[in-house]
Amino acid sequence: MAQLTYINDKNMAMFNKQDGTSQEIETIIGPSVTLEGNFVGSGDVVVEGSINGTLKTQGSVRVGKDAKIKAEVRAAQVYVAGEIRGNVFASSSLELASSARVVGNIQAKNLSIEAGATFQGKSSMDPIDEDGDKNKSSKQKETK
Amino acid sequence: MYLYIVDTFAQDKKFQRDLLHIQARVQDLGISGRFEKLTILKSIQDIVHDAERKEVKTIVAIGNDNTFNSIVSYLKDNSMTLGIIPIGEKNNSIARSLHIPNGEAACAVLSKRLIKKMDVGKVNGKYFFSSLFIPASQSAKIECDKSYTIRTSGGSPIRIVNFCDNGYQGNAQDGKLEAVVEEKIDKNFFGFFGKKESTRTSVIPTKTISIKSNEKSVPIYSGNDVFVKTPAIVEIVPKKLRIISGA
Repeated sequence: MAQLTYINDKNMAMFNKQDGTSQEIETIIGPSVTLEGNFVGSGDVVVEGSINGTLKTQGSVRVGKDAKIKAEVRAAQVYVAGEIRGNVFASSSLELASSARVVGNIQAKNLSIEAGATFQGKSSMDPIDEDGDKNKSSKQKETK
Repeated sequence: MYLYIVDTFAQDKKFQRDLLHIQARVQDLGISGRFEKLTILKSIQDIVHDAERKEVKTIVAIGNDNTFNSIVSYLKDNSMTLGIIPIGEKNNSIARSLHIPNGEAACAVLSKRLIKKMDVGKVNGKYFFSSLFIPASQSAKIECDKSYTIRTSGGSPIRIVNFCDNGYQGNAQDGKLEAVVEEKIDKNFFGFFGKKESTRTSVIPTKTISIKSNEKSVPIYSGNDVFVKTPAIVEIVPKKLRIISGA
């Protein structure tokens, strides 16, 4: 399974105090914050708070232990330690930690579920493209 | 042609020697120009508008972040180049981030004219460079990119950062603003060591932010001054400013 890399909450990657040169954008949704609606990012997203709606990014998503997500999640890599109510699509890898609680269908190229994680739904390991959609061959198979 | 705008605090006795050295140094480096000192009768707004009429090519703020941000806020024409000569030790995060040393040493950096095109924020038609501050308010509704809203429990204050603010460094070349929410958390260590406060920060990149309030208008600050009031539309204008940088 692909190694997930996470940014450090305390030393936010986007805030470089030495220089203001361009860096990859990171999103951090802290414990006191709730996002409602459709969030579309391009970099890595760390969720420690709440999201209601949809969460989509080309980077990785880390769902912290106390995070509560009622949303469809689409990303390249997803690590879940908190709660997700909604479908999860990971074009590269999905990892459910022991504290994860997922109610919804999950789809990922590589899937890892740690002992203790709770998961209610269907799982699929069909490949999906960067947008989180099933690839063309899978779509063709479905139509046949 | 250069125009140097000297902030009121930089005219203080303790900075007089610095100011004289700066005037001599810009002369030596061939970047001399008019020095305009801010007074009660002469505001930044008047000086900037006058400079635009006279087609001044470069405006240099001699002061701190507030001086530079004030100049940006009154700009109508963004074709001119901006520079800063920081004075004093406080409130100089813009210069620090641009690798510009304090006082006379900044003149050499200015003379090299390493110009970077940088983003500027715009709120209700007014430009801002560093950041905006929305104080804690239960009634403020914040919508980003017309697609999602941000809600904070306890109505924590929100900063909208373009370049730098309160020790944070944004990126003024990424075409995005960052909504920054700081939440203070009390940590009680075993009850007898007393409380230790730590901060958890949320950072949400966005291109536009709409701020509305259900009740009376909520003030939005730039530095210590009320800049605009709600309702407000904040947007990013990419690579609009030409700023002299040290690196």
